[in-house]
Amino acid sequence: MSRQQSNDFERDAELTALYRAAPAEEPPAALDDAIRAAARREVRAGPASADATRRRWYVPVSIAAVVVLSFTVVTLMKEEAPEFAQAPAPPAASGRTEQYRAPDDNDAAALKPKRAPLEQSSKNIGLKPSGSEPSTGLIPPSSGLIARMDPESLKRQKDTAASERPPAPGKPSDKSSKPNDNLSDARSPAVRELLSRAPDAQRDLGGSQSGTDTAKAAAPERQAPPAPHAGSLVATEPKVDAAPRSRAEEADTETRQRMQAFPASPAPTPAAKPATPPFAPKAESQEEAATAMRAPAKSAAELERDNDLPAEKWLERIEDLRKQGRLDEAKASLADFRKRYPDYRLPEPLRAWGLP
Amino acid sequence: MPEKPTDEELMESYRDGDAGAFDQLYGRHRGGVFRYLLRQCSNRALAEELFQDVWMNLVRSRSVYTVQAKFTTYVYRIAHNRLIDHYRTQKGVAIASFDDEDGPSLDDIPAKRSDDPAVSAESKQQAAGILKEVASLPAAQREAFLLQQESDMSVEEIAQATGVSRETAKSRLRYALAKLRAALVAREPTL
Repeated sequence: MSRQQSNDFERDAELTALYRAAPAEEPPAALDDAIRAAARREVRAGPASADATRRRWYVPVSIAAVVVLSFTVVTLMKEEAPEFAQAPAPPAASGRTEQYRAPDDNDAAALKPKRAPLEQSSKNIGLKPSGSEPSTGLIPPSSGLIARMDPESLKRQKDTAASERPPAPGKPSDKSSKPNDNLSDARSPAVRELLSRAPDAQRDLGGSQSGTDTAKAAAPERQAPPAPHAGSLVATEPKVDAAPRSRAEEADTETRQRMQAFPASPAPTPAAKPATPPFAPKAESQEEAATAMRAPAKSAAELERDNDLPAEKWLERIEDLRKQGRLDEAKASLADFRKRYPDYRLPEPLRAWGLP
Repeated sequence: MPEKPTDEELMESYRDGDAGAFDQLYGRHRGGVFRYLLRQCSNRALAEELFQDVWMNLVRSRSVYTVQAKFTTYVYRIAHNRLIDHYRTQKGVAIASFDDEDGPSLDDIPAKRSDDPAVSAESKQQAAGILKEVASLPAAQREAFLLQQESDMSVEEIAQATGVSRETAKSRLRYALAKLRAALVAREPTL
């Protein structure tokens, strides 16, 4: 059935005509008057009109208010968007970023004040400042582990490096491609302390010639690559401008091998401590020196590695060292940790244990 | 010659304080609304009471009136709701009979009669009888028929005024017309 037919069906003209022909009842006139009068009274009452006008504007005014408010909020958010983009990174992430950041002169300046107390402390424990002591050749100068801390030469080296240093190409290689003084500065104070103690302690060892020979034999090889910023620094980090990482790792590996071959630097386990005859005479008289020697044998590289760890990992490592009984290393590492993260809240056991 | 204002314009004028607009509006719809109520409840006194309530309700709610539909839909919706309220208060009275299926099937609905002159002669006699037939319709079908006849509403407007779907309103209207036609055919021999 089409629509037209449907409408025809729904509206029957004949029925409509019949219906309209029927008597049409009307409401009584009195009712009409009453309703009309009530309508007029309602109009005279008045407020309804103002109220109606007000109500008529409710919806458009509300919509306008929402639009204006939204626009304001969006505008404000756009203005503040750069601040959101530059929100501070979480502490762990920032620490990691920091560890890969190439140390610059500002870092060196920031670390400089820490060096004096370290040198002072090395004096206090009976060790001569490394800068005043000629190299014994026990550990080759180019091993990357021993940095002589001659202040004057350091200063000269720093000046040269500051003027000649090219812009850092990439973060990971930056660290190894920096001049030695900067690397020394970038190291943690504990590592520097250990490194500065090493030559003196080795000098104290005296007659251990085997290690010396080995080191001497290795020294020319390691000094072979030109060291443009060597200056008065006897010991330099591997010069790794071209192949930074591999050279640095190679140097560390060689150093570790030499240190293991050297009887004065056993694995720093408590049981191994007394079984080091060359150390015995001096270690008894200079306990702190012996402690310093035990620690660097293993921890110089390790502590340097610890420096690269995030805070949580570092603490775990310290805890591991404690559990293994390597208390000196643990303490040195903890001291290093505290210097690096002075505001970090240590776990309770470590806090109590690490108190001086 | 100025055009006559529409119902909606009159109602807006009244909302804005023009009492004369209400008089015009009332004059247009007073009869239809009254008959709708009277033929739904079949009680004149009650119809007058409901009629007054419907218009007073409209007067009181004038301030919130907005044109969302035809005025006829608006006013008959008020009347429909007032009737429903009345039925609810009168327990035992069926609000509406929706037993549309009780009527004859659509196949049995007689065809429209032609415009035979004899039909017009009969119409006056039949007119009196049709109101009885309307009164005998189920309430929902009667309501649909009355809304169509008194306010000239379309099926959609009937659906809107009674709060049902278009198909429901259409079905009610069809059944109402079919029953009335059948009644007229049945009456013919006796006339």
